[in-house]
Amino acid sequence: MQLTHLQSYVRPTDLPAAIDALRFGGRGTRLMAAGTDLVLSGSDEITGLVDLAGLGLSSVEDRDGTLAIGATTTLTDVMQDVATGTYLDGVVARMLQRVGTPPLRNAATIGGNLVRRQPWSDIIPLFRALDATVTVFDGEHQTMAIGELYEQAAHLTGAILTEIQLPRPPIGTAAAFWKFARSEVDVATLNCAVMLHTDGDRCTAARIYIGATPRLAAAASGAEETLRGAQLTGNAIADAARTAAGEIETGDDLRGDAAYRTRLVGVGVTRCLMEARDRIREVRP
Amino acid sequence: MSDPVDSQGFAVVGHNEPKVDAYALATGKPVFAGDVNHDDALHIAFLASKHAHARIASIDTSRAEALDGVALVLTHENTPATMYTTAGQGYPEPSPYDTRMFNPTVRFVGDRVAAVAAETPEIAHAATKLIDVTYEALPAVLSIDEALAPDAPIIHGEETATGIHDAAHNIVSVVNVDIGDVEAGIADSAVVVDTTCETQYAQHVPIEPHVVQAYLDNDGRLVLLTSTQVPFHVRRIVARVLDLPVHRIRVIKPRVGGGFGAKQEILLENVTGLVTLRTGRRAIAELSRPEEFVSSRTRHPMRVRVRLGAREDGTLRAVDMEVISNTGAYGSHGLTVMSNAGSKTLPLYNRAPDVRYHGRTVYTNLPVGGAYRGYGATQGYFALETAMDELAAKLGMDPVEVRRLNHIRVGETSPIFAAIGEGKPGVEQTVGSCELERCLDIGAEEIGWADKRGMRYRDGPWVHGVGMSIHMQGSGIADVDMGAATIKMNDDGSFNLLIGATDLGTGSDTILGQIAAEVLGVPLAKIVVYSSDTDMTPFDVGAYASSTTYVSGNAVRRAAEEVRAQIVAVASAMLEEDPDGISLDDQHAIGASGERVSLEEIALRSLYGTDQQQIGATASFVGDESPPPFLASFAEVAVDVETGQVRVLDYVAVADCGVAINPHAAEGQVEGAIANGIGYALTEEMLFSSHGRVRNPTLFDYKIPAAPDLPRIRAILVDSYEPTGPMGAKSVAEIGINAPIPTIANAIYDAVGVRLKNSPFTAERVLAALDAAT
Amino acid sequence: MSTTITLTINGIEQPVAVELGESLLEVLRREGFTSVKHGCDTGDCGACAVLLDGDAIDSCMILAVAADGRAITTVEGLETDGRLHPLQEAMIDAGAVQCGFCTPGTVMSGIDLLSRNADPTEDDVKAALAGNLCRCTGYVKQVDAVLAAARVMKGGPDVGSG
Ligand SMILES: Cc1cc2nc3c(=O)[nH]c(=O)nc-3n(C[C@H](O)[C@H](O)[C@H](O)COP(=O)(O)OP(=O)(O)OC[C@H]3O[C@@H](n4cnc5c(N)ncnc54)[C@H](O)[C@@H]3O)c2cc1C
Ligand code: FES
Ligand code: FES
Repeated sequence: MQLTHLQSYVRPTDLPAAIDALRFGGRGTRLMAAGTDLVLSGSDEITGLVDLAGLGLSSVEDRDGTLAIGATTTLTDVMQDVATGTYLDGVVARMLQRVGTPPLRNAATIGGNLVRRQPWSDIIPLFRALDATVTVFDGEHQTMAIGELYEQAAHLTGAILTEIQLPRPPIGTAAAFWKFARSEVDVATLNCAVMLHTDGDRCTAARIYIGATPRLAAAASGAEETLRGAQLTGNAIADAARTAAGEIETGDDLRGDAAYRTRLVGVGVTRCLMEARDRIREVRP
Repeated sequence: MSDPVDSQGFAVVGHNEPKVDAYALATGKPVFAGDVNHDDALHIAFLASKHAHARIASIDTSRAEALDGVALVLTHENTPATMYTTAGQGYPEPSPYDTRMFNPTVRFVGDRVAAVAAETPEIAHAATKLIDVTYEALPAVLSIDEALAPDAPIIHGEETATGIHDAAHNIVSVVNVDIGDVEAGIADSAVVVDTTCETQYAQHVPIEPHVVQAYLDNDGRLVLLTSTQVPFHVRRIVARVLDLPVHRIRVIKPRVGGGFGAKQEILLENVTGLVTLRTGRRAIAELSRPEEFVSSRTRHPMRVRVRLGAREDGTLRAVDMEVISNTGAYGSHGLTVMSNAGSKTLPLYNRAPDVRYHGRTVYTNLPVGGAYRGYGATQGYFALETAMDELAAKLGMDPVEVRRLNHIRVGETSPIFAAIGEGKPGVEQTVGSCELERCLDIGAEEIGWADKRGMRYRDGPWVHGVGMSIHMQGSGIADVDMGAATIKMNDDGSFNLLIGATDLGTGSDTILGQIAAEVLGVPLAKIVVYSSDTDMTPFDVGAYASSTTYVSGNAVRRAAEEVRAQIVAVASAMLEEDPDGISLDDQHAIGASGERVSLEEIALRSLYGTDQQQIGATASFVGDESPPPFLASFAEVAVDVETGQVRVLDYVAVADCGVAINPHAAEGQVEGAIANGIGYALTEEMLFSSHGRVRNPTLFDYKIPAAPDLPRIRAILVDSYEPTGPMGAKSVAEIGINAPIPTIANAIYDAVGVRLKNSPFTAERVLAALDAAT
Repeated sequence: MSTTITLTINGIEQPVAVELGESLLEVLRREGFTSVKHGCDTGDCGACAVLLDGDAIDSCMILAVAADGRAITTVEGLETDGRLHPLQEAMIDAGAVQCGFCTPGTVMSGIDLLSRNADPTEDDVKAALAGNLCRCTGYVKQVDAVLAAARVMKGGPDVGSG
């Protein structure tokens, strides 16, 4: 048996009921989306589960250019949605294609991934680079920058993530995601996500996030800074990559040691910036 | 696709008959050992050592026994002290008797300390945590170098162990073979290379982990339903360890979910059997995936040094191979795997008059080595074929040409065949079939060798290269492996084929059925194949050493021929024709006159009519040689010079396996072995903490290739005919796995000019090698 | 804690007694659906894959209670009118079944793919089978089988029955 101490399971059909169930469930009660991580954890601490599947939070919607994703949407449903395919050249779909395996993506939810905050999450760095906002419900709805989920350690205790919004990109925006893993079906040794805003050939702003580091989805702020106002030349990109490699703290584990990961930071930033630049040039020859 | 051997005129052999068990497997029938559900079964869980080396000072199982639902706790204190080897080899096993069911000294992290049998798996696991063990930690040996160090801790100091070459120095076994004078040969060579390669700890990863059910039949005999490659060895060894007569045990092998050597080992059967004997109840033991990684068996890591001396024209003058094999905590297959690193590699290059093979196997406090597809040859070929590539580079010659100049050919022999055997001297033999030349031609053509070699085509950061290597293996252990088959005829002219040979997914039931069908002139559907059950089927050593097609296949052919003779005799009486003119075809006996009588009529007559008899026969076969299959392997890789990542873009493996009894099955063996070898070359590696604990015992952290990791592996079978084989066949199952490591290493060299000598070639290692080269 | 849930397994709606903490894999095997294999328990091997409301998922990764009220298809439920699913036939014909331990799960992922993409490329098939580890075949003949099944299914139900 996977969760040997589980005593209660409920599948409420509205948000207030879900919050009530969570609050009254006591210490061992958890919210559950697909449950893939919860089941894997095999944790003895889990005594109650509040299944979010009945809340109707599975949908993908193009809201006037903003991509709105319900928290319990499976990764497959996000990936295969038409709106995802058109949003920023399909960068989200390309990233999701590299997450886990099809049977995993058919079950696992986008919200579960964001809340579980595995250090190697592929979704978190890209959504941070894309400047996502998230809506949570803890009795009332509240929308905030995605970074707030990660900047305060336990922000989501007692609250339900209901939706993620990826804002409408202004003209001259492109994004790219790069994942390095030991094999095609492995979590990242390192990943990198970039969003570039340009005006003509000049970069007006860049957002660069690196994942699979000791600090979950670390921002390469120095590198972002070097790009502000710069022409996106090979030199500028190399500069940014060097800066990122210098500023991002990397760690050792069985997928790679810190020094190797630092090399990968440079490679990932370079490749993402080049890809994003090329995508901008493609639309405006 | 055309069947390659129609030229031989076979009706069933050489055709892609669907596997006889494919329907049951594709529809998910309960055909595996773990598929039989029994509410009343006891479940077994193991307590594993957290120490790499420690003496168990005391063990208290009372809290575990008190737990509700616990039926039995087994430890070294209440189980037989009989010394044995877990290696499922022929009797007497060439592996040392250096283990007990439960040892009072634990010798690696994961070594078995105790087992609990309980009403549910959850209770059994919970109870393992209630066993109180006090360990007296001993110094641990965690590498080959530490094992051989002057004052190394002794791993097997127990007096009861036998068959260890030099326990005081952690040396399990030694093989020294000197042919001619290798130093003089090297001195006399125009060009010399000296290369040392090291292979890693890797695991077989059958998708079905080890699983056994034990129960008592109505006569109180112990029945073991087990996922094994060696049912008869299981019966013999379990009988000895549990002190039961062999006839009180029945071993049934159902479908097996892959073995690759891991299941040539007696790991769970004795414990499960003992639980059943003590409790009278059905018992089930199934390894979890982490247990499968850590506590079952692994590939022996080896350090192999090869020195080659060649004349200016590229012919070999001297070959020297020095092997140190790490068998881990117990000596399972320790001698024979190490021997095979030489015996299955060195005969390939028989031009050199001076040849030396020196091998040693050492103990360490790490997981236990065992049989693993390739069986030492894999490790030996890494160094040998890397050295051949270096030799080509030094000579300024095409690597393919250097192989062509030096490889063994039909009608030739090598002194190594006789010099190195498996626990005893080998057997002299002359190669009767070898199509390596054509394998090389086809492989070079298919990969585009002439156009791609040395071109270093570049696509962004990816630089392409091509590499190759050649290989041989054997077909069974000559003079050792015996297989037998029984065939009996039924009323409707169908036959039962009863074989001890152990189909573990390879398709051997099917190809053995095809051989019988061919001889008896019936379609495969008329052969009902049953393997293997020690009560029902004749003896067979089991599925290992690439023996089944050749050894068991020859036994089937013989049995079928005897049955055919009996059928012909009856037909002769019925047709009133001379038996010599009668042939079997199309389910009929056909006389010289063209008169026919159906097999059904023959069966009915012999079962119910005149001269009543059961038409049937049992025949055995032991190879007096072990004809090698051959393989030429070519790959194109791309190396990302910024990250070090290697991708295999194309893989061509051209095999000479004699006549392929079932081409799909033979290709499938090559494809699967190459895939496993690519994993072994690129990602698969058991990683250890500084205390000897495996850090990545899950499929999440230990990466075997998934579909998108691999190119479309192109297995090509060349026309060939082995005169001593059944219908011209020889083996094919193991050889492929030897190829990817050296082939990919050589391709990386072609691409980026660095030689990788430690497998696997992870991105981090490749990048480090690139850094070191600049 | 045990409870009774309702599962529609291979088209048959039935009450099933489960423990709250049990995975769907454990329950299906106990109920006799032995095609659902146990290979890792960590969502890595795919041997336990089944269709949940038509989508292939790893049954070791979700709780049985979470499947309450939903429809499950296992390989046992693929035969219609005594005929195998075209993908099962193709697996047998292509020689893609070696030990066969991975086969049921692989068939599930293949069916999931074919339900979304009737005309997959070789790379599409490889991507679709990424979660079904096979140690025997090197995937070559499995990929061929999925492509062959796609052709048969496009050609209408009668193609490939001969
Ligand atoms: C084999 C395997 C491979 C993987 N590979 C990758 C990979 O390559 N890249 C990658 O990024 N990820 C990968 N993952 C992680 C995977 O994406 C997560 O398991 C998945 O996203 C979790 O989703 P879930 O719906 O199952 O979460 P659950 O297990 O249901 O929940 C996870 C956690 O989030 C909480 N939670 C869930 N939903 C909400 C919500 N709406 N509001 C508040 N709290 C919530 C739960 O309480 C729980 O603590 C892999 C996982 C596995 C098992
Ligand atoms: S058992 Fe579920 S993925 Fe392996
Ligand atoms: S056929 Fe054996 S694991 Fe796939």
